[in-house]
Amino acid sequence: MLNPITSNKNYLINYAMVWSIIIGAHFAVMHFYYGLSVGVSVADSLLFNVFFAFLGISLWYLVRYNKSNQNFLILFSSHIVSSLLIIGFWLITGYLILKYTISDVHYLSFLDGSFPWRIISGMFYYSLFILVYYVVVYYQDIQEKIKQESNLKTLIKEVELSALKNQINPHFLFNSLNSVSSLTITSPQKAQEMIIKLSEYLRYSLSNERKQITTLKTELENIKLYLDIEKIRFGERLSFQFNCDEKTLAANIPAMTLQPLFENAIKHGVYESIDTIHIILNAELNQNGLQLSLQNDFDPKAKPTKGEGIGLKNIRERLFLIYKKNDLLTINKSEQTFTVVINIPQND
Amino acid sequence: MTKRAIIIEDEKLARDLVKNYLLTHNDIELIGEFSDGFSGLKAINELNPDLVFLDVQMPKLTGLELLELVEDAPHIIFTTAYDEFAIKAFDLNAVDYLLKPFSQERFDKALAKVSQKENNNSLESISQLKTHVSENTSIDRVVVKSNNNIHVIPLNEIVYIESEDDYVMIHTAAAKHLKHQTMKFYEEHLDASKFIRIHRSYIVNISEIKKIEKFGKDTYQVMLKSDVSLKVSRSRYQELKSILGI
Repeated sequence: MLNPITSNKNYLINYAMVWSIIIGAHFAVMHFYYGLSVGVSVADSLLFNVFFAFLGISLWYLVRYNKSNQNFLILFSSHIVSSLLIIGFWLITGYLILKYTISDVHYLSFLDGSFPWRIISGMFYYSLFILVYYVVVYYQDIQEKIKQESNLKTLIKEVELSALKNQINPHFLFNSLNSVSSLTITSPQKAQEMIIKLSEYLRYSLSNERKQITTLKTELENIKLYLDIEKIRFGERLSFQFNCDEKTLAANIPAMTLQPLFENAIKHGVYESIDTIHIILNAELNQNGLQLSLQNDFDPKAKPTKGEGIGLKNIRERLFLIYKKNDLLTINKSEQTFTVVINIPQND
Repeated sequence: MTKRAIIIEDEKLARDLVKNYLLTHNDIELIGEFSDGFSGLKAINELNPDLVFLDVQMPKLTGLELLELVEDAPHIIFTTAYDEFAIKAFDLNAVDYLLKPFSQERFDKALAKVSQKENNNSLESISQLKTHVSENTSIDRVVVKSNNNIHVIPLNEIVYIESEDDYVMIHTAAAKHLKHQTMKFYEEHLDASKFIRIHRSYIVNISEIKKIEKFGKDTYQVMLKSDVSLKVSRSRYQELKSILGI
């Protein structure tokens, strides 16, 4: 954070004007009330006030870097000490300069007797500066927080929107409908089964967006529907296996987290290969929570995938929004297998 | 006259559907079914069918890539579920396409269209389609045919592309392949952050460049990691320098 006085030209001008008024008042009191000569009144007023004006600017850094110190007692006593040091420095320096440059006897006796009210005014200035600076710091903090919050809200909206767009892949939908169309001729019974599976799957995909957290069991039931549908389309080309025990099935997971991963595995694996693609899901609970690892093989000669797709990016962002950690998803690509590992923190 | 047809489609149920729709058409004889681009292409060349039902999304070679490699294209009816670029390209052409799922009625219409065009030369529309497709899709691999082999070359394996009259020679670390395409096409369609045209005759994979050396007064050449040297034209030298950050 920049110094609020020197960082803005207008503030600096206003600051100088306030001090000019103080200098004027100071001069008036000395000249008209105490009857001191114009020369010494000007010198005294200018020296002490201009000096404090500069000290005041530097007090900002004291407040700025003390900010993290939350204990009020420590903060308060540190300000007492620093105010004594700064005011002492201010008074002694001013006093010595004037004492050895001015020979007016009348003024020198005034100078000697002026310490009490100079200390009081110094304390007053110091407190005023500190007060104003704290207000500035907290105001800026609040502004910063508001900005961060609105950024986060925008990110959430974006993630939700792209999740919405991605929840039903048109390619999958139309090809599945085409398979149903074919089955109605050859095997109406199977066509009906497929329509029911497709409907259940669509219902889950469309509704679960609102209910954020679900269990692995529910999530896998939906994945199973999806895979069953794809299995009807691809037959022998797709094989899948879930290695999850009872304990992991009860674990929490944000809804629709696994869906895009399976979709990716099918898109880059099954779509691009004529051989059987194996998709294997391993789930285990460890000290970090639920660890899911999804592995699929792919045809190494198939189209190279360009970096991290939208699906993976989306999951990464969603996990970040929910758990505030960005290392929950890792990818490992080898010659013929692609593995995604996700860690889902568990609260209990 | 009976027409001989083949189906190239990777999903069995989708093939079954086309077969079923064909039952009412006695004038069409189904002579084969193929489940990927490679075997489909081979079948077109060997069986020489009159009509092909061609899926777009397939393993190994997409329907559109397959089309690029066919020299003597038969009548083609595309079948696709969802492919924005392709659909746009089809719309601009006389070649018919069926959006999955499609009805028997729509299927019959496509076949009627084929009979109508019997006397017209559909080769023209095919070549138009090829142009439109290549204009609208970004390329992420190049397919070439040499002798009877088809090579699918990922872009990162291309070292450089050299012009050869009406053709281009695509050089990889292991081999070189001739392809009927223009330098201009590759200049426009390859990722400009990965490939740069350094000369009328050369487009180079930037990551393959080892160094630039002076060749003569004011002229330069690029030395590749494979120790091949290629001339840089004067007009392209500045661009090359800026992309390499010198």
